[in-house]
Amino acid sequence: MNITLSAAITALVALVLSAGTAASSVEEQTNWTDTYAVNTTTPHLQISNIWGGVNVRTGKSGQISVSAVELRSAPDQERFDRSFESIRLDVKADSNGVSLLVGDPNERWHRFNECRGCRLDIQFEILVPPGATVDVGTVMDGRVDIEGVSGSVSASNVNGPVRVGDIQECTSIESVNGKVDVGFATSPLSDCSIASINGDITLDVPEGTGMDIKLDLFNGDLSSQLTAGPLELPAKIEHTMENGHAQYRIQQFTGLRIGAGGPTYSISSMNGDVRIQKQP
Amino acid sequence: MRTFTLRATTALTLFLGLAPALAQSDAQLISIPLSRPGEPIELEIDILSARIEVIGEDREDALFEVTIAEGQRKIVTPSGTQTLTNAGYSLEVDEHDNSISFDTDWRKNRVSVVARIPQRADLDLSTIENGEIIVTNISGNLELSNVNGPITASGISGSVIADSVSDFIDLSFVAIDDNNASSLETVSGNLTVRLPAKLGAQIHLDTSQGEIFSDFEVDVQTSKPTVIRNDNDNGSEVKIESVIIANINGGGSIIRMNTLSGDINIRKTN
Repeated sequence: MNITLSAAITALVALVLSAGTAASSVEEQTNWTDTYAVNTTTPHLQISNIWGGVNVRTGKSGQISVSAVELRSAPDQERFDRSFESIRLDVKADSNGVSLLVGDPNERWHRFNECRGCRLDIQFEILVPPGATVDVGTVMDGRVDIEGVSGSVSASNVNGPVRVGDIQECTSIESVNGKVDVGFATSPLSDCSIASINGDITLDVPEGTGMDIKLDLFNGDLSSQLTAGPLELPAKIEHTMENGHAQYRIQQFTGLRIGAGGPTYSISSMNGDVRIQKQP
Repeated sequence: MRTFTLRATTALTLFLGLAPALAQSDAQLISIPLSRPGEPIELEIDILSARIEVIGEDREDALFEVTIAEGQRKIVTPSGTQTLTNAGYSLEVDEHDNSISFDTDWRKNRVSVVARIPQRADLDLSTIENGEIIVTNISGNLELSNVNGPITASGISGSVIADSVSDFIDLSFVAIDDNNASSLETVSGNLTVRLPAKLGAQIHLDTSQGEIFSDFEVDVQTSKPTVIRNDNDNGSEVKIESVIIANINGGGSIIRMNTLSGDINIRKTN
């Protein structure tokens, strides 16, 4: 493992204990920065956060820089101490990239219930080489914001927005309750899936972009600043057999061709609008 | 399990063979093999807007013929608003241990389902908007709910719980379940039960503003108001119900018929 530790770990401990009151809580904040050396032009960044946001920007080649503001909290000291067993940031790094996973390192998610009211809020600020591939997500109380990455991007949020700007390719961009904004530096060439349940979806693409869209839009409106027309799509038919359940699923998407067509974009939203915008 | 897998594979092959012909307004055929062929099944269909027809046949699988009305999706483009004729949809059919559920994703597209199933079946069918429910030749316990449309069932052997708000309910029995009561309830539609001439039943009749017609001679029983008290965490609910109780052919299983403004018809079949 070729890791260069900056050793610039600053720990700001703010221990607050107000025992005997209904609003008693214990908090501890830690700020730290690490830089991890990578020896590929397309390193991988993976982040699975729970509470807090993730910002990814491009920095120097050959390294991934991680700055984090961690705020650990619990309703009382006993649970605060115990929270270290069930909620941790697991950092893995090698010459190919960095993985930052928040949660139980053994994925025993039921242990969250053993420490009710315990949280580990982390705000990540990440610098990656321009060619990095990125797969980051959070669950609540934060936004996912990625800018300028030329490798393929996957980004997700549950209760907040996702903004991805000035990218070249994506694999999957989604939110449940937040809006999704995806902006491209160049016309995309590979397939991607973009989804939201309750948020609007906006694609900003260069003029002349072509793409074929498999649209699954429930209640929202649809608009395009680029030339668009209908596209015939076959029904998607799936048959699965699992635990004695035979399931047949037929799904028919609305087909939409943007410009002269191109990669297939699966876009779905239940209650949000879908906008395809032309970059100025 | 191997037998089942083979059946499933065969059915899927048939199914996929038909798939290329699936345009949205064309009928789609879905053949579902059963876990226990020859035994009674359960079928649940719950669709927002649907014409649901269930036909009992001498068969060992379930065959669904599905047609989904084309929806429309508007898109605003530089050249103006365009209409995309295919608004999309999704449907799922699940079979487990002879229990089949048929679901769609609650879009407004009107769905037409014709289900050909074994005759011995318990049904739970419901729709809300612009719907119609038709059941033919089924032996079992039926729960049928259609908020804004009619319910018609014929060749039924068993019990039926049927409710509608604004349309008629017409049930034709071959035989009724000795152990389970039947109920027809609507607000503004007419209620009709058709019974074999020699079948005995006890009819509980309640219509506020409608008329009651019977092909049978009825033996009206002395009845007194029923008081139903329900105590729970939210308080107490007391319901007092007074209905006409009439025996036909000496009485039998209870058939409850309740409407606010519709007529009640008790018809005799041969």
